[in-house]
Amino acid sequence: MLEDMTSLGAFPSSHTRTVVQVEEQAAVPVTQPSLSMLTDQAGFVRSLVGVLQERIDDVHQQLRASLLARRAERVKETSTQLLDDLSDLGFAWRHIAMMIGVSVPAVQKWRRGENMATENFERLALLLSICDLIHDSFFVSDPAAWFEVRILPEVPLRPMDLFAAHQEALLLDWAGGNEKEAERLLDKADPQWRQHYATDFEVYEADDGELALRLKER
Amino acid sequence: VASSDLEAPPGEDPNWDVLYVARGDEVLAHRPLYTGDVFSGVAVRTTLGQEKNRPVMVIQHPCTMRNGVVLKESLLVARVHEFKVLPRDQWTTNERLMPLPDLRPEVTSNQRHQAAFFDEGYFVHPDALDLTKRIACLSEIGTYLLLQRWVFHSSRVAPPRWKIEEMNGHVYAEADLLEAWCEAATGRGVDLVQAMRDADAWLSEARDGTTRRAMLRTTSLRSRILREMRQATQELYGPPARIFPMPTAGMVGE
Repeated sequence: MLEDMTSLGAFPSSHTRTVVQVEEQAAVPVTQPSLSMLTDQAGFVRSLVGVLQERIDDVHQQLRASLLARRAERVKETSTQLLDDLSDLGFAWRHIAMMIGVSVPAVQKWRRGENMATENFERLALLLSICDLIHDSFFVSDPAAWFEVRILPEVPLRPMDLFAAHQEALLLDWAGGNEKEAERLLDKADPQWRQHYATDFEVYEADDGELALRLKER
Repeated sequence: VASSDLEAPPGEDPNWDVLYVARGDEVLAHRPLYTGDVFSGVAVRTTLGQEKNRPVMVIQHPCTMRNGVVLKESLLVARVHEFKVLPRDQWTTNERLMPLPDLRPEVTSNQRHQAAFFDEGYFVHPDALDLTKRIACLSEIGTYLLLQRWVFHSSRVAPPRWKIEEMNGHVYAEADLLEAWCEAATGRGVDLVQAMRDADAWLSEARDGTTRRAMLRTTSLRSRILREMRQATQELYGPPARIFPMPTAGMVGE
């Protein structure tokens, strides 16, 4: 599975050559490109984008297939085993409750042996299968920490919020992405995030060593 | 800063579950006392010097509640009484109180919905806060909304809830960890007070030049501390007893 996923991230060599060709073309100093040249270039870039989009769709499909395979394994477990596995990973009960969309007492009842609705069981299994996938294929060594850490330091949106909002595709994008893609990902998750989380306050360590709030210096 | 900066809980009326981590029978005795806990029948002394039994909410900031695991001798609480349901679009006003809609969901009278009033505050000794009389604990979101309203009432400044969370997240994480520790310990017959002491000693233990308590400040380390806690409680108290039947998914239940 690891090999499958590693190969997903690599472009075929023919595509690599195409990108190089485009860069070389762009590097040629053209003082006054003709309209037909520009039209040709635009058409070429459009076709390249089409090829890349197909490749992205292909990667997403393979990721989805990989996730479904892992989920199929996880649903063989009992609900108690699923909860124990999440706890062993280091998830707090309140975070598990939040991600599944139930109250903390509901999770406590499950732990005491009460039945859970099939929908919630499936969400638990999906959560664990995502943990399996990001650990095995994206080299996330501590999935529980990964779910809890903000996507951007100054924005309080975390992968666990994406899961709670049923945005698993974005979650996997983030697992395979990098910091440069964070803003694009947040744009998809919450197009208003820049407005929502604009603030003049900052957290700092006060002289007594405790954290405190103050207005940012202008 | 205008009072319109005061935030409402996420979600839609009339679902207020997001405010609470536990109410009524759901409240666990081994959860340590925390900001936002609501008690019934607490003996308080009024400004006229009379002693009365009243429902109250703890509004003391979590950072100033304890010396280690020992509660300070004087804790600030606010009186709780009946109050109408404040729809989410009206949470920007009424800054003198913390709305507690559905505080008592089992009740059908007006007593079901209450509020904590910041201008009816008392100092009480922690012994007055009998954990068996605790009727509700706020969720993490509920706690930060309470702190936002309390800060605004006291100072006319309303920092965003998510910034309050950034400042206090490690404190809530510690309270959660203490609850999990005490659950593990008391489930194996250990006294609650002893369990709290053990947890405090474990959190205060120096390792790699810092303590586990200090490490909780770093979000990415919290899961590691939780994993280590599970291991530590097993080493201290023995493996968890599997006393419950193994459930499977069904159509019944939440």
